[in-house]
Amino acid sequence: MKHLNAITLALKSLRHKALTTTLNLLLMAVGIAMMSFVLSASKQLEDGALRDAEGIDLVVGAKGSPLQLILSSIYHLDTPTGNIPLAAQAQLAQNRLVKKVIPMALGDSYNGFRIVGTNADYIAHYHGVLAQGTLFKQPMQAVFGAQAALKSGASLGATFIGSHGLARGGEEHKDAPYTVVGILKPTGTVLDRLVLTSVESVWKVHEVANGIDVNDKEEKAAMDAERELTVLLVQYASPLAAVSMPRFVNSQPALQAAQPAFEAAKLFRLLGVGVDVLRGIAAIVLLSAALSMFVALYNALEERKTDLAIMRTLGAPPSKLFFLLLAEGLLLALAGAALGWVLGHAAVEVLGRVLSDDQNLTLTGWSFTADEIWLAVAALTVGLLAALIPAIRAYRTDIAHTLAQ
Amino acid sequence: MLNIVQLRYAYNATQALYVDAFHLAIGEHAIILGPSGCGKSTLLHLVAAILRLQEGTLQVAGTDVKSLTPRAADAWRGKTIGFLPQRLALVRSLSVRENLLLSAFANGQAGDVARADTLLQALGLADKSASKPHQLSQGQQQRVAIARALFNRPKLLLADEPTANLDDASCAAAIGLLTSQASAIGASLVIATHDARVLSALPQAKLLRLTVSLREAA
Repeated sequence: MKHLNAITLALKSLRHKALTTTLNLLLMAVGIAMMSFVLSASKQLEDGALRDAEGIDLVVGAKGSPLQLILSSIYHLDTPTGNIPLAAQAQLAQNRLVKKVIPMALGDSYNGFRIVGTNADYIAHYHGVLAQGTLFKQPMQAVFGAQAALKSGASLGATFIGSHGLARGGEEHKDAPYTVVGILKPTGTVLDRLVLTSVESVWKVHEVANGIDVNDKEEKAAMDAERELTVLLVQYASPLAAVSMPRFVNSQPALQAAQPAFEAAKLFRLLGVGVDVLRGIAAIVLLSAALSMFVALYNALEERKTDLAIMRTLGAPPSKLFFLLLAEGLLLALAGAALGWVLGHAAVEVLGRVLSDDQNLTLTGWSFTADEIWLAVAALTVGLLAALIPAIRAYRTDIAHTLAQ
Repeated sequence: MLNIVQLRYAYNATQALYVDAFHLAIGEHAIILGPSGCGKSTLLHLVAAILRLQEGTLQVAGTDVKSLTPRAADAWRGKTIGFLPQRLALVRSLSVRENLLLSAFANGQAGDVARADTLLQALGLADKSASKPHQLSQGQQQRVAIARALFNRPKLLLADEPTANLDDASCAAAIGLLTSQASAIGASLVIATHDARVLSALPQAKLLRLTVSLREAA
């Protein structure tokens, strides 16, 4: 080192006490890592959840828990509450307060990815665009979301068999194979994790499974009368609908309405407790980092009193010693924060990779939020808190007394 | 170089340091002699403007020390005074060369590496420039402290008990080194000591005895 300044001097002093420095660095890093992990992960989950629910004002399904209804139909995280009569779709579509009704028939999956019987509106709602192939035109044709295609290795023209239920290992519908006709580009929504087909396909799979002869007109008519859907995604034509529609739907014996915005808010409140707890722990860790750094700097001061006195003797004004000590605290805090920030994002990335095998959540370590600026502010505050009193003591070094000892 | 007239410094209500008159011309060396606790260090600290003068006149290298504000005193000290403390006070986290460059940093100047290496060479420490102080012998550490005191080319080199822990041979060598280095940059050397060996090693120096300098305050 050819040039000495407050920063290089502070670095040398920190390196001289390598063990203490490492401990404080780690303490600081753990606190900031937890903070940035919580910030990044909760922001991504919230954004993802809002994106998936965007434009869907009401979900209509079978009676049951509204939260389960939302989780199963919008986020595809839970099992459906049951089925509803096909007639409900037409009934809702006629209502002038309703702009759009998207039908969904759920129940099967392929390789852990849900098979959703729906129509082209559903794909359009999430701005899905084909990367290859075409949309489904006939029963038993399927379009794969980007992630579902990538993970299951689906290619155009390939056939596959859906299995009953939403987890792997359900009973396979061997008699009714699907054909892959299209693959979608990534959208960053729930669409990426789905296998899409027409409602008729889902019906057909279960007809075959139940041994119904579609060529028998009487049986077919009886079937058609009992056709069912799982849920309907509803978009209002007017905000006024929010007042009357849920009540109107809930008044019918077979139907249950759930408002995604309301249920999502409820869910975030539940998750929010966990987030707050994590944040609180992180704050405590940061506080102990500040304390530990303070103790380290303060104790080191006793040892370095002669160093400081000799610098004064060599002509350094007291302010120089003050800034030297401050630089030490700030450097330590900022280096710890930088390390923690990297660790936090790495942890989000690792969690994202682990979870992506379950097709539940999309998390990436490369997502940064503006709130993370506050981490730097927090780090600076911790550094200042830790270094201020030692710096003031350094400022007040009594040269004559120290050198005469 | 040094002009002291009726200097008085009270430690507390009962104890005070008093010097009636002392004068040192440019290039002359001085020895402040007296037993431990007689105020030798205090006098050195007053000369270096580390302690603030209370009464009397103290002129160092043409500057009336009393007229300096605390901030100006720091800058003045960095330029004018070279200080060799008894405890040496080398910074343990810095290498030998960096300990020298610390003088420049403290004084707000860019570190002159060539100057540091020349000084280390002259003091026979050229191969130790990258070592840490704890890797050196006591004598080597003292030479580093001398080099550091000389780094900013002071007009006055103050040494506090430089021979306290040295045997006779090292004592003569240390005094010889201090005088030759001080003369090399045209500085006056002031040694505070209770060691009579310094007197014989530096016969030409002016003597200031502080034998009865701890006085009852009037």
